Amino acid sequence: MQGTVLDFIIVILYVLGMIGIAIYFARKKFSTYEDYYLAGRTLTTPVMVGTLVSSYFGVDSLVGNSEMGFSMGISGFFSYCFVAFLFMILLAFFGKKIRDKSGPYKSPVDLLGVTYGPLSRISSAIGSLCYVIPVVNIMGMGFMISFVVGIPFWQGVVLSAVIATLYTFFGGMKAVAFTDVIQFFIIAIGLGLIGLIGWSKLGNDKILEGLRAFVGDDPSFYFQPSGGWMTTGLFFTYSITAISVLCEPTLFQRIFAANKESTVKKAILISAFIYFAFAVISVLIGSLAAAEVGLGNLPTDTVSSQSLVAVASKVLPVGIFGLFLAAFLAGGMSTMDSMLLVAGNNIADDLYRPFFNKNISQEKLIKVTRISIVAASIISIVLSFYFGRVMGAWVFVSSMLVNTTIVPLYTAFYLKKKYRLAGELSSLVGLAGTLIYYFVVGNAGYYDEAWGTFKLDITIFGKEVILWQEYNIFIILPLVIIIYFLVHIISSLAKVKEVKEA
Amino acid sequence: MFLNNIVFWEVVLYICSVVSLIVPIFLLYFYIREKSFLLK
Repeated sequence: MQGTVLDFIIVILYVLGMIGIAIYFARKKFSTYEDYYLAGRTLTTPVMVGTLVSSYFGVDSLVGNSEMGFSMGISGFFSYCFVAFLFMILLAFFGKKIRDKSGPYKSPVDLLGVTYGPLSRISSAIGSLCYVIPVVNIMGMGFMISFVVGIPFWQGVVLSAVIATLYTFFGGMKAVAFTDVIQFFIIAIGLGLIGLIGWSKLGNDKILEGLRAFVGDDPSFYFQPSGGWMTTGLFFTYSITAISVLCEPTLFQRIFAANKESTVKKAILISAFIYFAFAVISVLIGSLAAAEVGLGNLPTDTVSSQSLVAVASKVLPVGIFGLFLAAFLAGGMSTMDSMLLVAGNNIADDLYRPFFNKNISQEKLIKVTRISIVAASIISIVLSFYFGRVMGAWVFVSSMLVNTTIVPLYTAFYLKKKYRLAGELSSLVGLAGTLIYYFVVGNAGYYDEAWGTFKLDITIFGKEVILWQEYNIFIILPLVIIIYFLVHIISSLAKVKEVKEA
Repeated sequence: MFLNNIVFWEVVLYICSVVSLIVPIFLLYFYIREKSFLLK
């Protein structure tokens, strides 16, 4: 095990605390489904900030950012996090309108289903479900727990899934928001301490010396936003999936659960800046880990994905390291619980209720959601043993979400006139287009080890073009937009009946 | 350019770390003021 007994006790206390919250909520009864899934729409600004940041900044962010910082420096921040930050600012300005329009709906899928019809409901529910089954997160947790505590990967996976499932199952959004806020405190303090202590302990000269030894060359690219590798094309390729922020189901669930419209804008703006700070720290600590390896302070076989914990174990004092490990668990747990809750709602309220049991009682709906949460958790555990390439999985799930949801969702919010066929066709084309694109590039193409992605060489009008798996949003999303507006204009000219506002 | 300098990023890191440590204190103040604990 990494760390001392005191560190271990702090981690155990954290785990017991989470189980305690599950027990507390097990005794409670929820009068309505809205009370269970949206905490009765009572989230205030500070609660929203805590839950937004901790659910969006998960263990995948912690591991992924430090991994990028380890091998490419600050350009790792600019190739994704910075763009995600900008989209969050944009979402803050949309947020007020979204909350205002969310009225009778419990989720974006529900809104799309009522506005555009069942095809749109099914397509966007599939897109959302692909995104919120927390496979990537649960894998990150499994790896980290096995690295820190020394138990096998599968035990780490099961342990974290069981705890997050327990309190989400019993407490719904109230438990998720409450634990998220506590987890937010732990992540913020853990990251803040390692940022301050870790860097100053070595100092700039030593860090540069270490990085020079690590790369065996001039390490100045570690502190260049472009990293010397990022062309405009690559920047767009890597950052395009950040557009998923604009339709991220767990962020939307918080927006729907806010107590009033003004809360949403304030909370998302504050959260965006905190996300910025967390992302910078996690990327730069990854670079610090590379310097420590170069200096011989960390073993040369340190894996980039473990760089954050490796540095933490090296530089943080006893007890504080335990807090950091708890922060790590908190990062994973807070994202997993949010995703499981949304997955439960996707299955129960977005699909089961409208298609199989329209007059379901509130009590029964909560029961079906709870069963769905357990099912989603089991599916995540099973899938986590089969997914090899984490990054590939991320690009796929975010593409599914963006291509099926973003166009019908924002048109539902912002267009005065809406036509059912435009919404249904655009969702369906988004779903089918993404699947076909992945199937074709994955099967007819080849795997490029250097870039870690599938590519397909094609010739268009005598010109050679290389299609990356990542390019699908560039191709499918414009197609979805064209189809939506084409059908919209035709429907308008043909004087087709408009969709009525709920 | 100043962005390509380790000292610049060191300063950014310290600012982010301090923000990270201060924000929980602010939020805690507002939780207490608004009594928004959710554990009711």
